Amino acid sequence: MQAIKEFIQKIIKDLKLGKLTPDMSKTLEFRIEKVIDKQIQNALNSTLTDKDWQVYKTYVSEHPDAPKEDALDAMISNRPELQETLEGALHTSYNKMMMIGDAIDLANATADEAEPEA
Amino acid sequence: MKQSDIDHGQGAVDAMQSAFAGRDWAMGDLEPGTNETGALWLAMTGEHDNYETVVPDVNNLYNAMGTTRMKVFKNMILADRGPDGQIQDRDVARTLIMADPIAYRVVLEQQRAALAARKIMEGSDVKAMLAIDPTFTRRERWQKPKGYTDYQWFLTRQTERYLDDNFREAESYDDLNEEGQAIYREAMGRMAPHLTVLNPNSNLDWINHDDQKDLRKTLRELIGEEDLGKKADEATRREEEKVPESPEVIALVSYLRQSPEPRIVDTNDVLTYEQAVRIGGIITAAGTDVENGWTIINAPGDGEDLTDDCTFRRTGRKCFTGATKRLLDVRNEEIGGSTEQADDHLNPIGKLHKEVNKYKRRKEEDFAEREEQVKRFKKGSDALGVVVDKEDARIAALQAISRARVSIEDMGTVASDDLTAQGILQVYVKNQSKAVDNLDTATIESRAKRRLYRREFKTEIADDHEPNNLFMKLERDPPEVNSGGKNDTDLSDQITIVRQGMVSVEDAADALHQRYQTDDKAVKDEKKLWKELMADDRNFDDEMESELRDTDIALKRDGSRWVLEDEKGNKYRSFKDMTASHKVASDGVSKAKQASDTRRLDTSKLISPTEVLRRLYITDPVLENQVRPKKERAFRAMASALMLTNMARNERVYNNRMNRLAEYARQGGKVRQAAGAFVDEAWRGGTEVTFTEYKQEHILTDERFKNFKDIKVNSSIAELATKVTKKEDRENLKALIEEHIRPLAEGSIQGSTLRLTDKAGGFMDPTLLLEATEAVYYTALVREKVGRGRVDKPEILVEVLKEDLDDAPATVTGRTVKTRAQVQRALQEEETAAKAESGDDGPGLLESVWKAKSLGLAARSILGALGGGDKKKKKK
Repeated sequence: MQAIKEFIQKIIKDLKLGKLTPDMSKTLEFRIEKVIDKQIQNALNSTLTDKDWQVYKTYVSEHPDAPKEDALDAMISNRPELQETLEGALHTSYNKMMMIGDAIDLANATADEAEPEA
Repeated sequence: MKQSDIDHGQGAVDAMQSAFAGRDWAMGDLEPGTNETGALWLAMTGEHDNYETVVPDVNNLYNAMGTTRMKVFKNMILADRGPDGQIQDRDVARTLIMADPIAYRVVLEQQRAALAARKIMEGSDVKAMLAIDPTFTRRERWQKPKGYTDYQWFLTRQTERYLDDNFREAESYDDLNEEGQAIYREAMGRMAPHLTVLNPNSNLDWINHDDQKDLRKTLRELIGEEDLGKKADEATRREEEKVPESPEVIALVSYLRQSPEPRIVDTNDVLTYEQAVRIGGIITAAGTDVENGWTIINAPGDGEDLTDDCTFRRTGRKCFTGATKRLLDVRNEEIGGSTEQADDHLNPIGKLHKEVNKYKRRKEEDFAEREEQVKRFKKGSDALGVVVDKEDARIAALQAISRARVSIEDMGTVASDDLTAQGILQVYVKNQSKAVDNLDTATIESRAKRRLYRREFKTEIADDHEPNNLFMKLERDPPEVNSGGKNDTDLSDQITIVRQGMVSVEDAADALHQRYQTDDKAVKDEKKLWKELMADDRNFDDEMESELRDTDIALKRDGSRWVLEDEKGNKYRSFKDMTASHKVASDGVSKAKQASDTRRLDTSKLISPTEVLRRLYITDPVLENQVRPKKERAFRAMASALMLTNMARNERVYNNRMNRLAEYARQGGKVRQAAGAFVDEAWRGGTEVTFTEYKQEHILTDERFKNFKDIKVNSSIAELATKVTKKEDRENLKALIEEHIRPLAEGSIQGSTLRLTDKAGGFMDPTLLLEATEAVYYTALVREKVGRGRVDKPEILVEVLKEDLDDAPATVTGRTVKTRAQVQRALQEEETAAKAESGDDGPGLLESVWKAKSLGLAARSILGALGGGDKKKKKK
């Protein structure tokens, strides 16, 4: 969790949003998490196979007390390219956020141009 | 062997040209702004006689975005990125597309720009222009006029060089022929146009500090906006502050530190290392030696003191120029000692480097005196016996052609001097035409100089007012070769091949193969040549092929990935892995590993071209029958695929391309066409993206896409943007992206009926289209949200994200989220809803993912790549 939090903070930092209120900061974190969620979900949905889920389920059945994330880790470690899938999803999330940030910067710049300061 | 001339300017471009020209070695004079200018210079030396606008530095453009001077940038060619390396190509492209999709056609990367610029200029109103000061005269060629910035002087010399190369006998304006005078007038009439596209606030650290001030002052005067003065001063102050290290620098330094051998990297452009590797074929064409573990990313300039470069100070590693490396090699052989010992022998050269470098910094020193230093350096080199086999340079040039897919025709127009063109001919004559092999180098050189240059190049081109396309002239009136009729035929055949649009070495070999198809020896030679060309893939040899032919290998689908499976059921992700495991040609594998270690792309993660070909053989008997008997086709595909190694941004992109190449071939596509299209696309930078309807009925009958109906072959992404003016359009674009473009980009091409093609009908990498269309989409979305006024960035960001994800449940919207638990609950609600809708019964995937170590590892990996991370942990 620590790394993913750092990743989100990295996104916020790279978006160059200036000083944020605590509320806005948390709202943004939430929104970014959702972006990441969506990317991960899309990526995994298009990658996971029945065989992967079988690994997952086997792990759960063999380790009924273990948390689900352990089963997920087992599933992913069973197929290394899934790790790349996750990385790809994070990368896409980052790029997407930067793309939107750039679009906003540009819109603001255009607004500045249209209405120059007195 | 003779000592070659020292070139001036353009770094790697010169290295390439020198290699093609058969020079012993090349030394680029690392002037500020040379990359972009060099690229544009190449464009200028093409077939175009009208030049309008040159943007010398993407950074300047980028910094000027959103300013009142934006409009100046319309219809221009961009090349390269700024010297601070902070600006990623795609960031610039994205920004530009968002800014004004119609006006901008973005060409990025220095080498690619030269070719792309030409393509753009053809049939468009985009031109290039040269900056020059009218006080320039040819007689003052080595004297920097007072008041000149380094950059102005550089451009001046480039113009001078062009004129000199093309109109060598002219001593004055009056001596120039009409074309020369036209070029000269053109230059005169456009004094320092780069100033008009710069902003006083631009990042100008690509020129030295003193000149920055001068330039800013000039800019302010030109622009006539006094209020910009303060900002400019502020910008100057900011530029004096240390630029933080980019991820690329960190990565490079890390790489150099870990490297077992010294590495030579262009001191002026270390930040574009990845870019350099991608075009390594060109850059290493300066007769350098990657075989022995050296990575020479450029041939640094005369007198450049590499040890003075900050990057190398940080690494603590000693680095040498390309020429010095050669010296080391020679000395090493002579004394039989280590490189370090050889280095001791070369201390005088190192000292001279430092002297020259110090000298460069002293503004009061005269430029001519610096030239003297250079001459002394050359002398010193001679004294130490620098010998570099010209044949090496030719082979390097061939490799450059192969990897970079620089067309010979392009090279012809790239050529800014006769030697270059002659060198290209030599490459082909010497390496591919058996009959002309008998001609010695001196004969070819003298012939080329005497006949090609003086007769063809000078007089006829001038008379016809045609571009300096030497090969057109060669075809129309092939030079006589006096050593026999057969040679005549061969040389003219070569020229004809060139003229017919030889797009790569593979085509040349194809033509030769047809000619020699009954000649076993010729075929053998050709095969040998191709093996040389494919030095990167040492896995592939007869022994290995034989070994594997007898091995029961199956190709199987494992999720989204192909794997090779041997008779024991072991799975391998690549052919390389398999051969390593089977201990087939272990020596070759170890060499391959050694070679791969010198590359930025982690080749262990790449699907090898061999694997792709083998996949075709194994999985498709029909294709195998087509391919295997015609070995050269396989080689061509492999060579094209190899090029992708240099072109791909990262392993994932590379593998995607490889996979799609294989898939495309499996579906009946022509391997060569597909591979070629990929490479072409890489060169184009993906900006000339076009739609075509693979199955028109699906796209065209979908009401949502009615606005995109007329987007057909040859429509550009810029045209697409014109269709997105209303919210409905934007939503439809989103649908198009999600339903067609993204599935294509993510590899599930079977799921879409949309195909992307280039103008030639080649298969197109949709990832580039995805990026571009998303940029258009977000631009439209933000504009909707922003309206005409200025907005608060965080707020609008949240709004955009909500809209984009289409996910704003009432329970969350507008509520301050305080804890992760709340977030999780909100997500779970949505997830549950999504599952209910989709029928997905996956076991709480998202919740688990967030807690999984795997995601943490992935995040750590990405953070590393982005230059972020937990510094506190590192302190321990």
